[in-house]
Order: sequence, then C-alpha cells, then structure tokens
Amino acid sequence: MRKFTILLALLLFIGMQSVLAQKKISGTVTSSEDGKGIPGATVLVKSTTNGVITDVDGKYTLNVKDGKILVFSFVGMTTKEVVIENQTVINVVLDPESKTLEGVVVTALGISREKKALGYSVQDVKGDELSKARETNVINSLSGKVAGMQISGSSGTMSGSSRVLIRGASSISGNNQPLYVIDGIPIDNSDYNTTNTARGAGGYDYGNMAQDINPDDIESISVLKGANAAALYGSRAANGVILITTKKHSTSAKSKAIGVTYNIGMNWEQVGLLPSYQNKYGGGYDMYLLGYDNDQGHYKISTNGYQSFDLIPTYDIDESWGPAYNTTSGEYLSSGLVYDYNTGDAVAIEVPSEYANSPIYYRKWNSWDEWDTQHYGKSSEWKSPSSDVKDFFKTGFGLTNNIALVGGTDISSARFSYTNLSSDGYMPASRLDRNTINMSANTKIGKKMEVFGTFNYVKNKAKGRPETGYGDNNVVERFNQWGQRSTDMSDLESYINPDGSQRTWNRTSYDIAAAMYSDNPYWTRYKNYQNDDRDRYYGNVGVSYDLLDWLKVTGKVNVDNYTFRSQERVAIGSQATSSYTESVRTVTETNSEFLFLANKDLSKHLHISGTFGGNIMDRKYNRNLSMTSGGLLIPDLYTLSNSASPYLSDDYNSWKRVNSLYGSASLGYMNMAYLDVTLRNDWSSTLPNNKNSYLYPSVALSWVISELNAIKNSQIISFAKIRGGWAQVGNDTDPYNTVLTYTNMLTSDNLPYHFGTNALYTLPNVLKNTDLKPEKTTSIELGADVRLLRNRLSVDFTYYNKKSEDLILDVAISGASGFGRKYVNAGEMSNKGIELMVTGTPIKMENNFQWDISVNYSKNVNEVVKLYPGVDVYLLANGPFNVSVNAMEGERYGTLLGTDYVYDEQGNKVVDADGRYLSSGIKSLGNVLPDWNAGFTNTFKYKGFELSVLIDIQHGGEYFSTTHMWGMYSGILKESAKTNELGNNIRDGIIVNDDGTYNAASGGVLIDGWVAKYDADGNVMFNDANGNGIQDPTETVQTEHKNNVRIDGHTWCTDMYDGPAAQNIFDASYIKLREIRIGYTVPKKYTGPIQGLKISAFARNLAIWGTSYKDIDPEVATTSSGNIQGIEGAGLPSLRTYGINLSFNF
Amino acid sequence: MKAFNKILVLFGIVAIFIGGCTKNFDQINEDPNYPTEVTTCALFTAAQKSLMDDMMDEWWAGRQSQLYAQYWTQRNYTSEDRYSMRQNNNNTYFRLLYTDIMDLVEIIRLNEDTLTRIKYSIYGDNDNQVACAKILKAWAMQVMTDTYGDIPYSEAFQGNAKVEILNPKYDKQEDIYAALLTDLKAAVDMINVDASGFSSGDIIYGGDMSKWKKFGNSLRLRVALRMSGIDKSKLDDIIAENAGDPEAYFTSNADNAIFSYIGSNPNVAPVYNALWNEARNDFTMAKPLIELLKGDNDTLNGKINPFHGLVDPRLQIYSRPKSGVYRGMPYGMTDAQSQSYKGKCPSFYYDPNGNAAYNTVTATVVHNPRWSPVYMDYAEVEFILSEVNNFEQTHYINGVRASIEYWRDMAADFESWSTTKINDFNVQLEQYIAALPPANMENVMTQKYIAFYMQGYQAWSEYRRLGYPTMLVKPGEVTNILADGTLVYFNSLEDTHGDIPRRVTYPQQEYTVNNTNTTAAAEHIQGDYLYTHVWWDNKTK
Repeated sequence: MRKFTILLALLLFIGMQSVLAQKKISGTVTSSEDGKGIPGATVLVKSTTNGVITDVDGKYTLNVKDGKILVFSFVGMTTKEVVIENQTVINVVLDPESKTLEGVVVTALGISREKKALGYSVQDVKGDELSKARETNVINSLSGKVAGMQISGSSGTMSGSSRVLIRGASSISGNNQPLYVIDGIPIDNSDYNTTNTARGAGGYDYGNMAQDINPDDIESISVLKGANAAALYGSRAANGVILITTKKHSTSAKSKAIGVTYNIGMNWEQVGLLPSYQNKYGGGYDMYLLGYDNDQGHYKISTNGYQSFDLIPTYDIDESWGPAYNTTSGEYLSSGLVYDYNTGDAVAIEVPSEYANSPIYYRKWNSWDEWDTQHYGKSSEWKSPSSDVKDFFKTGFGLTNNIALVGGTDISSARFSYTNLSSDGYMPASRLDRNTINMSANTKIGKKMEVFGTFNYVKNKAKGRPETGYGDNNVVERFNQWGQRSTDMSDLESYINPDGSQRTWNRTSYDIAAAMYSDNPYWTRYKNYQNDDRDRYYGNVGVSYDLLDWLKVTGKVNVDNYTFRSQERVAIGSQATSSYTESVRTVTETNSEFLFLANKDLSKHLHISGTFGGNIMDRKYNRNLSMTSGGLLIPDLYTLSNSASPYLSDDYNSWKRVNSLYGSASLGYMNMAYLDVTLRNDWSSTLPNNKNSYLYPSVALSWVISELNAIKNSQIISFAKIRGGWAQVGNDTDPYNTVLTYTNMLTSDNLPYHFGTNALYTLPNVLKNTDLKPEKTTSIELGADVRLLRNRLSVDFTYYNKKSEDLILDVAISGASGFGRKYVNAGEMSNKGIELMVTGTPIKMENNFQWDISVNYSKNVNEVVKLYPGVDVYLLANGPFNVSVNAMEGERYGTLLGTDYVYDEQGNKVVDADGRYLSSGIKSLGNVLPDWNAGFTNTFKYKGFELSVLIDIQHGGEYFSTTHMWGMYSGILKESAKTNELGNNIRDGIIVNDDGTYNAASGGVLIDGWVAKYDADGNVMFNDANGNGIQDPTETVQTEHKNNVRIDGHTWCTDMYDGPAAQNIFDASYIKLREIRIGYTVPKKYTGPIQGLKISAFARNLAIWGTSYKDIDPEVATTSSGNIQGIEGAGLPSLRTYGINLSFNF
Repeated sequence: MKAFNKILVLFGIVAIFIGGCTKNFDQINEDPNYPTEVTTCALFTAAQKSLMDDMMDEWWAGRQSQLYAQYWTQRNYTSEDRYSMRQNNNNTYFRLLYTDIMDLVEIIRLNEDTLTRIKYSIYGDNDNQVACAKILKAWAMQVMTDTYGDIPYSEAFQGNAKVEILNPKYDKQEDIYAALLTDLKAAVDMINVDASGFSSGDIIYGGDMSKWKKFGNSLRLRVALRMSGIDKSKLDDIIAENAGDPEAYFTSNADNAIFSYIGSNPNVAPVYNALWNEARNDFTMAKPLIELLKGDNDTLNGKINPFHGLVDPRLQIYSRPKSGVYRGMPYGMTDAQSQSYKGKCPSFYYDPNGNAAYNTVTATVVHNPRWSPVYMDYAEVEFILSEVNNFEQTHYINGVRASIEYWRDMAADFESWSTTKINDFNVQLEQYIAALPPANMENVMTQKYIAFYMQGYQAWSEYRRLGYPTMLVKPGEVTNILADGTLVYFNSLEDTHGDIPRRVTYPQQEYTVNNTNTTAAAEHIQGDYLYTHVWWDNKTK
C-alpha cells in the first residue's frame, strides 16, 4: 500500500523538484503510533509546488529558502506545518487523524473549537457512519452512538417518527425534541402526527420533519447536549442541539481540480418480528347450518327426512374462538348444539359414518360470489391456512444514488450533490421517493470579504404509508388484534368483485357481503391508500468581512421553507364511510442574524475570543385541511367536490417572532485553562407584553491538568482535563396561549362547521392565561476527560443536574369548571444523570490488525417535582384503551396509569369468588422512560477491511400493549390457546367430577391468586376501612384461601381487557444487534483511474434479546416524536434491513 | 481605535434595533383564527346542539341510557349491557356535559354583566336570554345529578371567573335539587313574553318565549316529581302556584322541546351519525321493550305485562320485523350467547339488497338523519299530572295519546305515509286506547316508560324512582332459553346488587384531577358504586 503511494507520489511530483535550491533541509517523518518512519509522506513548501516524498524509512531531503513553511502530510495522519528558521534537520512526528489529541469540534453558532477548550460535553459522529447504514430517517441511525442521547424510532413506518431525548425530558407539555441546525440554518422539526397517532389510536405516522436531512451530504454531526453547549441558541436549544455540518469543498491548495464522488446504496427490508399466533382454532364463534332446497349443500344427511346443508361460520365476528381444527364432522354435528342459521333453533343430527371421521367442511367467505367459479358454492376443509400473515408482507427494496461534484480555485470553491432515493416498502403498494439537491459555494471578494451560501432542495414523495395504531386501515391491527385465524391470506388477494365492490372475509352475513368491521387487507392497501409529498428548501446567504485582523463580522439570512401536502382516502365500499382528506401545510422560518467574532492574544499566555450577535426569528405556519362529508359520490374519484354533503374545511395560521441578542467570551490561559461565558436575551411574541423579555447566562471552565509539569511527561496519562459549567436557558410558549378566544364546534374529524345558517361557537376547552412567563431551565455539568497509555484507553465522563421551572402546562382541571384544561406556569422537572464514554484499542498489531471498542452509557434520573397546586397528575394522553400516559408528581415523566391487580397483605394477587382477577383503582403501572441506555461498538480493522458491530441496549421503562390485550381477547395469539397445568388446552371445557373436584381432562385456567373475603352485603372486604374501597389503589384486600375456581379460557382471555390493565404492561428493555457494517477500501492499484473505491455492506436490527414480551419490539410503541409515548396501539412490525453500498471518486 | 469606535456604534445600533423592535408583538400574537367575541345566538345554538349530540350518541345513548332503560341491547359486544363501562367514555361524558353547559353560563354572564349587557341585547331581551339559558342548564344539570348523584354545582363553571375555581367541590344532590328549582322559578319569572327571545339560533322554539315559559314550568314539575319520594311539598307548591293557569305547562305536542337536526351531514341526528357515518351496527331492540309493545308476558321470569294481549301501535314505529316477526334480543347475554340472535333480530343498518345505506324499510324513525331528540315533551307532562292526581285516568289517556300521535306524526313525515296508512294507524290508536286497562301506578308508569323511548335517562330515573316497568330483566334473572331448554341468565360484569345500576360511578379523571373533592363525595354518598342510591332514590336498597 505504502509502496503504491510512493509510486503515485513520485509520478505526481516528478519534475517538481525546484531548481532554485537555496538551502538543504533533511529529516525523518515518523508516526506517533509506532515511532517508525513513514514512507511516502509528502513534504511540501507551503503555497508552492515544491515538495518531495519521503523514502521507505521516512527520510527526506529538500532545498528551501529561509522563512518558508514546510507542510508535512500523509493520508490518515494530521498535517503539520513547521516554520523554517535556522534548522537544517527537521524531524516531524505525525499523529493519526482519528486519534487527534486536541481535536476540533463544531460548537454553537458553527464555531469550530478545540475540544480541550470546552467546559462542556460535545460529541460528534462522522457522516459516513450514517450514510453507510441507511435509515430513511437519518436520526434513527444515531441510535446507540451518543452517550446521553436516547432515540426511539419504529422501523416499519416508512420514515416515521423518531423521538430523541438528550439528557431526559425537560418540558412537561412542550416540545422535548432537540433543535436541528444544518450549516447554521435552524431546521423545522415539526411533527404533524395527530394525538390519535401518538397515542396508538390510529392515523398515519408522517414522521418528524428532520427526516428530510440527507445522510449523503453530512460531513459530521455534533451533539450539543447540555445547556452550556447550547445556550447561544436560546429557547429552542433547551433540549440540546444537533448540529449538522454538510460536506464542503475547501479552498485549500491541493483541491483545485474538479472532483466527482459517486455513491450507490441498495437496501432490503423484511419484517423482523411478528407475534406468535395460535394455529389450533379457527375464526368466529360457531358454525350454523344453512339448509338448501336444491340439494347443493356439502352435507347430505338422511335424518328427520332428507337434509342437505352447508356449515357457515360467523363471518361477522372478527375473533378466533371457532371450532378446533382437529374436530371431526361427527363430533361437531352430533354435539347437539348446532343451530339452524335462519331459525336459530338447535338441530340434532345423527351423523352418518361417511362424515363421522372427516374434518369439518365449511363455506369459506369467498364461496358466495357466483362469478368466482373456483370457489362458488364449494365447501372447504376447516384447517389452519397454508398462507398466513407473514405472506402478506414482501421484501422492501431501496436504491440510493448520490453524485457529488466539487471544484474550486484559490478564492472560490463549490460543491454540488444530487441524491435520489427510491424505495418500495415491505407493505404492498408502498413507495417512498426522495430527491435531494445540495449546493454550497463561497468566494472571496478582495482580501477581506467573503460571500457564501448554501442551498438545499428536498422533494419527498410517499405513497401508501401504513396506518399505525388502532385504526381502520392498519392491516397489522387486523392481523394481530382482531381477525379469524382460519382465513387464508392467499384467498384475500382476490379483494374486489367485477363490479368494483369489496370482498372481505368479514362479511356481515352469508347473504350480506358488506364488511362488518374489517376490510380485506389488500383492499385497504390498494384502495384506502394515502399519499403525501413535501417540497422543501433551506439555505442561507451571507457575507463576512474582516474588520480588523482580530475582528470579523458576518451577516446571514437563513431560510427554511416547506410545503407538505397529504391526501388520505377511504374508498366507496369500505367498512368506514368513504372519504377524501386533503391537507396542505406550509412552514417558513427565517432567521436573520449578524455576528461579530473576535480573536486576540492579549499576552503571550492569554488568549481571548469573543462573539456578539443578534437574530430575528420569524416562524410562519399555515394549514389548510379539507375533508369530504357524508361519503363520496363517484367511486375512485378523489376530489373535494366529489363529497356527498358539502365538504368541510379549516384554515389555521400562526406567526411567532423571537428577537435575540447574545454574546460570548472565551479566555484561554497557556493552552491549559479556559473560561467561557455566554449571555443571551430573548424577546418572544408569544408571551404577554410585560413578560416577553428574558435574559440567561452561562459560564464554563475547562482545565487541562495534563499540561501541569507533574503530569506532562507521564507515561500513563496522555491527556487529562476536568471541566464544569453552569447555565440557564429560558423558553417561551406557542403562539396564542395568552388570550381567550371562542372556538368553532368541530366534527369528529376536528373540522369546524355551522348549523345551517346558524353559527356554532363555544368557549374553548383550554383556558388561556394572560400571566404566562417564560420557562427556565438551570443546569450544572461536571466532567472529566482522561486518556491513558498513549491514547489506547480514554474515558469521558459527565455528570449533569438540570432543573426546569415555571414550566408552561395546560393542566387538566375538573370538567366541572366549565373547561378541560388551563395554561399555567407551574411545573418543575429535574433531570440528573451521568454519561460515560469509554474507548479503547485492546489490540493493535504490527500487521495492521486493530480492534477498537467504544462503549457509551447514560443514565438519566428524571423526576416531575411539581405540577400545579392541587394537581398531582398531568394527563399527556389517554390511550385508546385502559391506560393513560401522564406526568405525575414525584414520579418519572411518562407514568402509565391504569388498573392494577388487587393484592392482599401478603402480596398475593386477589381473585373474586368466580376465580377472576379483581381490578384496583387507577394507579401507576410503570413509566415510559428507560433507566439507562448503552451502546457497545466493536470495530475491527485489517488493512482495507473494517468490520463494526453495534449493540444497543435499553434498560427499564414500560409500555402498554394493545396487541396483547386484543390479541388475547379475540383468540389470535398463541397464548390464548395455551396448555394449562393439567396438560389440557385452556379452551377445552371445564369438567367437574361428581365430588366437585376438577377432572384431569379439564380445560380452563386456574389463576394463581387468593380469594377475596366478602361482607354480608356482598362487598369486598378491605384491610383499611376508610371507605374509599376499590378506588384507593393502596388498599389491600382480606383474603380467605387460595383460588380453586377455574375459569374458562375465553373468559380468561377477554379479562385481558375487562380485568386489570396491568396484565398488558411490559418492560421496554431490549438488547439489539443494531448494526453490523463491513467495509473494504479497494487498493488503488486495482482500481485504475477510480479512486477511493469503498464497498460496504450492512445489516440493521438483526436481532433483539431481553424483551419481557418477546412478540413485540418495544420500539414500535413510538409513533410520534412528541411526549405521548408508551402505548403500543397495533405496532407495525419492526424491520430488519440489509444493504450494500459502493462509493468512489475520480 | 477609530475603527473600533465605529464598530461599537454598529453594535449599539443593531442591539437597539433587535431589542427594541418588539412593538408589534401584540399584533403578531393576535390569534387570526378565532374570535374574541361571538354572538350569544351562536353560543345558544351550540349549547342546544352539543347537549343532544353528546347525550344521544352511540356512546351515551347507545351504550348507557338506552341500555339501562333496556330499550336497546348490543348485538355483538355486550360488555356495556352487562354494566362494564369504558372509563374513557365516562371521563369524556362528564367533561363534555359540563363544558356544553358552560356556554349557557357564558350567555347568562354576558347578559347579566353591566359592561356587556347592552351590547348583547341586540340578540334578544337580556332577561329572556338569561331565562332560556337557565332553563336549558337546569335541564342538563338534572340529567347529570341523576346520573352520578352528588356532583359539582355551586362551585362549578368558574374556571374563568375572577376568582377561578379549577377543581370545584361536589354538592349534595339535595342541595342541587333545591337550586334547580330556585333557578327554574327565577327563569320562569324572568321571562317577558312580550319582549323578544333570541333573535336567531334558538332551534328549539325559534325565540317563542311563551313556549320557553311552558318548558320552564314543565321542567319544574319533572324536577319536583323526581324528588317527591323524599319531599313532596315542592311538587305541591308548583301545582298550587300554577293551578289557575291552563297554559302553565305543555298543552300539546306543538309545545314539545325537541332539537330538530337539519338532516344533512354534518348536521345529522346522532343515532344516524353512529350507524351510517361511524358504521356502528351494534344495536338492536331489547326483548323487554318488544314484549311490552307486543303485549306478551315475560314467561321466563313469570312477569306479567300490564298490557297483556294489546299490541301497541308504536311497535311498528319503534322497531322493524324480521321475516315478519317483531323480535327483541334477550338483554344481558354474553358476546357468544348473542351470536345466534343476530340473524333473527333486526339489523337497522342494511336495506334488503344488502347495501349499507339508510332505508326506511329497515331503519326506523330514530335512525333518520332528521330525527329530533326530545328534551321534554307534552306526554310526560300529562303522565306527571296523572301521578300528581293519584294516577288519574284522563291525564293518563292524554299522555298515551300524545305519545302515540307524536311518534305517528314523525313517522308519517319521515317515511311519507299515505293517507290510508295514517287512517289505518289511527284506527289502531283508538282501539288501543279503548282497550287500555285503567290508570294505576303500574299502568301509568309503564306507559310513561313506553313514551320515553329514546329518552333513556328519564326512563332509567323513573325506573329507579318507582320500579316500573317490572318487565325489565335484572342481573340474575333469566334472559333467554335455548332450544334444548337451557336457561341463559343475565350475569352482570360489575356488582350491581342484582339490579339495574342505581347510578354511574364517578369518572376516573375526576379522581385524578379533583381527587380531594371526588373522594369526599364518594364518602358522602356512602361509596362510589353502581349500586349506591342517589339521594332521591328512596327505593329499598
């Protein structure tokens, strides 16, 4: 490899040897890694073409003038410059680039700072890590990589939401998502998902808007975690900042030529996890006899005269409590309780021997349509279908092409990049297309002025996003929560009749084809689809001017604008009323800013740098939402004018302005101690006049102790720093929260309407507040950064403690006040935590084999300290069933409230006299926030090969599974047909012996609990008789003896809904094999004119372990980036993704 | 240094520009989407409509009051029939009813406040506006207190008061009833029939204040009668007070307080909305009501129909036959037990061709998009007057006739009855009335129950007060018999002490946000249970 480089360098520099040899300089270039000479390193006289290449031992000789500067560089090593004074021998030690000691990192306002000078924690991630393991929402690919950053994102939603919490949640009702800044442009990260979508009650997950960021254009991402790091960004940075720097072309001498980089990526996605289904019992409840006059029935029996009939199942029941597959016709028909469909009367049938041992034959749902000659009039065997849920999904395929062109001169440079992503999802009829153009350019005008600009255009188009949660069009809900297990998936593919009407298994009855509850999933996918598209551009133009040699001023205008359209359809013939919904949202955010930057050495040891800036931020939002009313008239025509009743429409406009002034000063002493001070004042239009100005400061200190003489030459400690900071950040609220206005009456789809010519206005549900003041977050941060053994091991540790006060909440109040909620300044929330990042290189061998380990760990302890006097629970949202998500005083944010089991004093679960669980009053069943997160990366390098494996761990937290609740209720899940302790299926009948004991062949469930005592009135007896009874969740119940009453399997399963909600609460811990990447850089000698040919392959979400409910990936409970989390509504399956990537440049 | 000074000046200018440029913030934060002032007419229409929308929808009529009265039962998922309630719905109902009433409180405030009184007088005489709002408020608050027992009243509706009360205390039902009567008396006295009512937006009476006065007085009768088992003097006082005024109460069906929906989306009746817009085909007629209308006895439990052998002409309006047979579904079966009945009991939702569409052949008048739910009607007044006069015959017959005629006229309108059909119906009406057994407590109260069809809350309350009709099936009783003779019992999912619930438990949300007051109320009523009796409910526990 090195020899090849030498050869190439020799070719390049041939003839470059200067004829103007003035002075001979020689020396050796060695590597700090092994102390050996570096062959092939470039030694160049700065700003000339005069240079040489070192020989095999790293030695060089060169003729130069005095006063010139020599530049030493080598691929993968940091470049060093040495001023030539009187030396004739210059020996240089180069450090490997990845191990840069005093690394530079991008901080607030895009200012690059030496890491060691920072009094706070900043972590950066390289762009190629993101573009190699593709995720359509790039934020998901940060998962497990940054300490203190917790990411949850469901993978089955086509670039759906990912929720990011940096150092916990600090606002109770407001936005807890970080601010995204790309090249200085704040990017809108709104989430337009409805509350229904977030709470798992149905709706499309459109994702948060930061998904538009194109991973191919990212050079690096800096995560500013604490208030100190982010203070200069003001209010919106209270939750941290994700600072993205895109790839640029620099105006350095070696990059004049036009370069082209090309990247192609392909990825495949597959459903990774589906619940375990039961395959023993079919759909519905019972079968009925449908008699025939024409002798066409399947069964022909000569009892009670000649009978010809078919068996028809209960098509309209979307449950799976039907007969067992292994039942014979003989057993079934002679059971004595088979009913005539039309009269409802039981028919007793003596079964002739020809049927006695044959399986049950029944009329499938598709046997009633005359045109379908293949199935019409035929009976089929009652059996587990050969084609099941997994056959509905396909392998998704995505293709990404990126081409980037760079070019420049001494004074100008430009980069242009175009990316096309097109992806067919794992759901039938789903597609996502994204085209991104990224341009950046800068040029110098004269010596002091520089003009620069960036422009990005993103076009997103999606069609057929899967609906999430408990919604009519979420096919997963129809697979995992409700349905008939006997339905053959391949039968369903014929979803439409020749007249265009729907065919579904869930017929209302044999003679009424209309869907009872469930549409055919293929009908759902092909007819009730949505589509959306978004045109977005963001960019800036600016000018900077060097006022003095130590003072520069920059003026800049940043704009982010997008128009987001979505269209949702329900076709005529669906179970739900047909409809067409159209929404258009436009967001424009403009930031006009100026910034003075000063840099000056005050004395030999004292350096000062400072900034002073101002910003005017305007955010304008406009939404038009229109929907048909009362159905559609013409089939398959999706226009508003096709509405049966006049369509309904709603406009909403908002405008918010924040003016800001800010400044900072950094003082450095002898490269050893650094002091940072910032100050910012914001004026926000959303707050009342006299309370709209707020000032907040920060101070941070960093001390590099390894600069102390005592440590400086230590063999063990290579670098050591301690740091500390204190900061405050203020925050405002949304527009229009201060003055009470009347609102329209709304339809169930939230559209305003009137009653004929009479207007309908009402007082709002939420009381506004004219006394709102800004929220305030105060934080301290302490940390240490230690690197040992020549950087083979490094530890970065941070402790933080932040407290948010005066939080603006719309607290729930008693409806009897006439209002549902009120905005108040009340809440207080604290987050304390630690972040630990350990990196090490256990093995580094002479033959270039290297093993790196990187571990990050973060633990955040959150507490809702205070809400509002008299209010101890703040409702974030009710789940669609049985639980709610809340902020509860004294608990961690995101408490799941619902009914628990009732316990006796010994801690036994209590059942009632019938052997069923008793339910407690409403109490805390868990919390949606995890206890800790960790990421564990192993990287192996050997020559051009690199293999890295990321394991992502979440520990703690709970979620409520609607899938478990309904999947059990409706007899879908395997557990609903499990074997009881007697070895019989729980669905088998309960058989009581003559002496009252249970027969060994008995089915049913014997719940392991104790039986409550009852008083004479039949009331449960509590131990603490304060009269609140079951409503007081802390009370225990008196018990008599262990439960000995069996309940039938069906009751046990339906009690998952009717009984304690706690039965469906699961631990959200997981260990995920998040990412495996393998890459190979092809040596140049094999690639001809092409350079930097890299091939890589990846796999994401390969495996999951350690979940308490193994059928569900806890992450699928995330269907919003907002605060409503922890309710799995009918989670889309989590996906495994595989891909390959190839890139090169020339 | 000069340059430096210039820079300082530059600093100063931009700082002043940015920091000082907040003058238009008020304008920026002015909400362009919603008004800060609206007409009281708009508030009044909204209140009238939302009260009916919320009380008569599939959740609160369909899965509560219509079930408690056993007018309806569910065809597939019968949890609510067996008294297992979805707590979210309870939370929502409690909050919505109060916030609906809040608009009436706002109308009262705008018309009473000296600063706004004159401004709002253009929408009708101030006192008349206040009176209308008070009557409707009292109507709704009675339903609320009859549902839960003690509820917030004296401290309610003060979320935006100068001294705000966000979590009001619960008042004793006894005190609420006293206040309702005081308020209604004040409202009736305040009405000036010569001055204008609401200039628009009064969907109930179109601004006719004489009708509002009748409504107010009729409602006073309802309220006073409900508590008459505890204290009859209030009822006697009202009767005495209005003794000389033949026009004091409703005198014909033309006086009925009803809310007439326009009949096109989104202004369709809530039951229509539930069936056709929300596609909830969950409801059918319950067996006790159909048996009562058909003149059948409840043979399973040995209960005698007081109108045994008489077919009520309202049967054909309330229900639809399936294969020529009027059939009610046995009440209180499990999901599985209900299956064999689905084919037999009417599905209002489908026309004979199997299309999901409104069709007058299968659907009844209450499924019509124009169906008008009733706040209070003339028939009820007659039944009350019959009871007041010791179950007097003439008022009883007047009540039955008024009810049958009311339903006849609605059906004739919605279903375009021919003159022949109307005449045939009238013959049935007269035959039925002629054959009715004479007035007594059971006969009057059972007729009142039949007349209350769709007013589930009233029927349920009257059942709790006097125990009629006896035909309702109680938990533990037999609801059905299978072909093989197996008896199917009505097993409640919740403890109701073997009866239909005597009240609804307080919503969970109240325990969450208003815990101290709710807990205190639960203790005062001696336990927050379905079987706890409300104050006026003096039936033996």
